[in-house]
Amino acid sequence: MFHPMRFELQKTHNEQALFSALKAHYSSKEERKTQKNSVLYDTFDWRLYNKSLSLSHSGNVLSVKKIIDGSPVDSITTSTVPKFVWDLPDSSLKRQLQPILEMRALLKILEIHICATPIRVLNEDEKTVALFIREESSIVNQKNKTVFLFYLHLKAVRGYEAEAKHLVEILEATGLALSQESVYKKALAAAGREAGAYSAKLNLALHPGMRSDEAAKAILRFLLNVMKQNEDGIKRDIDTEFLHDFRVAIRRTRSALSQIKNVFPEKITTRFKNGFSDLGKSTNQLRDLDVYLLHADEYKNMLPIQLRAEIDPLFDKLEEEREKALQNVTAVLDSPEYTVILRDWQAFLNQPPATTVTAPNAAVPVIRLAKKRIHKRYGLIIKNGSEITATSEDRLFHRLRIECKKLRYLLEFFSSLFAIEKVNYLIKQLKKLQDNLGRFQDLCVQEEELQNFIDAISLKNHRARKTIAAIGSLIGTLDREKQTVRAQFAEIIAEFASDGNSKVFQELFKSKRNEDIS
Amino acid sequence: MRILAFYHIKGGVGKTATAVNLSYVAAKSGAKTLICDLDPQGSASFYFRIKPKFKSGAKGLIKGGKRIDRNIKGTDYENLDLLPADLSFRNLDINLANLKRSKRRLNEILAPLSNEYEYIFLDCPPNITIVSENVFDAADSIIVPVIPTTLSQKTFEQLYAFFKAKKYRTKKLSAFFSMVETRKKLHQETMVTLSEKFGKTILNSRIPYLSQIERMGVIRKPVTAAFPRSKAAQKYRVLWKEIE
Repeated sequence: MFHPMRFELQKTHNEQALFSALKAHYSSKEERKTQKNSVLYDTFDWRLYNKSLSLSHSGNVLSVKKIIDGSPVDSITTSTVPKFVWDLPDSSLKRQLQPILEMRALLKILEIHICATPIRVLNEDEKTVALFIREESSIVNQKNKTVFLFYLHLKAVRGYEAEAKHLVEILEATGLALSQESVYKKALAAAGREAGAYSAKLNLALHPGMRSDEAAKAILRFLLNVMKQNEDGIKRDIDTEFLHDFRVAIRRTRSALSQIKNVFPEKITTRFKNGFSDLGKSTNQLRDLDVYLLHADEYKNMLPIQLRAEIDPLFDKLEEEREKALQNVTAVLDSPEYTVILRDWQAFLNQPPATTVTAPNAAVPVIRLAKKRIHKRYGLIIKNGSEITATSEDRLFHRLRIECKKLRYLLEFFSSLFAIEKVNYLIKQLKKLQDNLGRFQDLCVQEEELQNFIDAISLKNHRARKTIAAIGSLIGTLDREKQTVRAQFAEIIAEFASDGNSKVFQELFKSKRNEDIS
Repeated sequence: MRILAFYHIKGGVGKTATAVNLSYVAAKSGAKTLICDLDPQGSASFYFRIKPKFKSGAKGLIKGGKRIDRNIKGTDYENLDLLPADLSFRNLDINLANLKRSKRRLNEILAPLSNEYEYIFLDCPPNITIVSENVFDAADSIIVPVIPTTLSQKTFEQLYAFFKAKKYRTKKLSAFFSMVETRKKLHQETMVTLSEKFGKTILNSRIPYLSQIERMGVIRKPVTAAFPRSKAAQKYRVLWKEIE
């Protein structure tokens, strides 16, 4: 069976020449043109694009295709596109998209208007032996409505393969070529959108000889930009991850200010460390509630069916609290204090490079500073990690988790200064340790959330008692899992501290002349 | 997959017109349909503007497999394909006679197509040969158009008796009155007689004589496709509803 072929047309395409060439063997009949629209969707952070997939909705069909050649992967019938993947009808498409989209909202990227004119190619019996479809696509809502895609599709009819081959020869003889390009990429270009334009992942190119203050500014400028890009999504409450990315950018900013020590005048460092600390704190409540609510379905499903409705009123209350928390955060983002701090921070970061030594480490080549800080942080983790056993207090695990995060940030800030495969390897090893500590922390948080439930349920009836008992047993399950995670820690820290890893750390980050760096 | 044969010993009763129009209706409803033109005259192929040429001829048809695939042609209508006839099909019965299981060969040839098609329509030649017996064996339903005249009545009774004698399942048989002219008293009387005699074997739907159906050979399109709102098209759709 023939796969429909696509020939790219130019605006100057001479259709007359084509049909004259056809006339010797065939006649043609143009039919009524059809119009349809197709809307392209992706998340704010381009999750589908990053997996080389496109999601589009046209008519009643929602389809997933490969970006590279537009070949279909899966599709379902649905008249609307929900905001979140969990609202899709049960289907293989939903199951495929769930792990990719997770809790991020689907946003409309662009809308394409397609005008298709079928042209039948007829033999001497006036039998249709092939179908041309002339397709013109433009972007909807664009001021100049230019056609960005102009194709002639050739669809063969079964049993008339010789004719199809002949037609291809005729088309190629008139100068038309088969098109292999990605419609997706052309559409984005026509709509003025850049795929993958937003990413919270640090992607900087620092030079080893750069002044440390300049390197720090480069890192901080990137992080400030991430913060700004997420503001609108937070205020419009599009999904929970805008706030999450915003907070991570703040956390990294504070970490950079703390760990890349003494590169800025002390007044600057103090002002902005405190300013961002306050900003971060003002978003804590909203984030806690978001996480709590994201767990809602999970908790409900863990309870016996007949008791699930018991905790609904609790979630309703949480929703109310969340609404208030969102209003508070919005107020902060709209406040003059926020505008000022960001404006001043931007102004500071945009200042032309300093030529004098404005702080003790300001002019130190960044490679030296990076090595020292990373090496020191690594040493601390090994030392503190070795002191933790399966029976140590929870807070020691939490402290180590934060130290690992600091190291992770440092590795990410300065990755461009070192051999990429080695840094990636170390980050991978660190991630195993972080996953164990992160899992531990999640369990602690969940236990606390469930305990809050128990405290909030009033003992009004038999069902309430049963619910409390059920939640109690859930807490028991979580506690047992905590023990397991604690037990696994010993092996994981040993692996992290292994000679193999140590060798790579020393190789990359140990250096002799460090006394001059404060 | 369901195999429907359109068959009568007599020619000119509306076999091909019915097969062609009903195959269009089936395809239009979304079911992938193949109509096989087994009549060397190639009328069904003619109606679809497809040349009556089968590469490797009658011998190839009997061998089946890839030879069938290679000859299937897309009609101008979505979901509807045609397996064209060929003049060499006049020798089909001779070619079949030499095979073992000579009466089951068609069933074997059509079986692999069940992956692709929901319906297979067989437009049969107007005779009674080994080819017909293959059709009786392979088909799930055998649709017989009957013009309500005396001679036609006799021929149908003969066919029914033949079926019973050869121990084919008479349940497969469905007859409908074709080219009916209700003004003619003979038609009315014959329809009553046959309905009483054969009960449920006679379908309720009837196709009247309509010049539009006769002119199909001129326009070379199924009436159901060219004039979907015509009386002819409506009648065919009702008939299909009863059969499908």
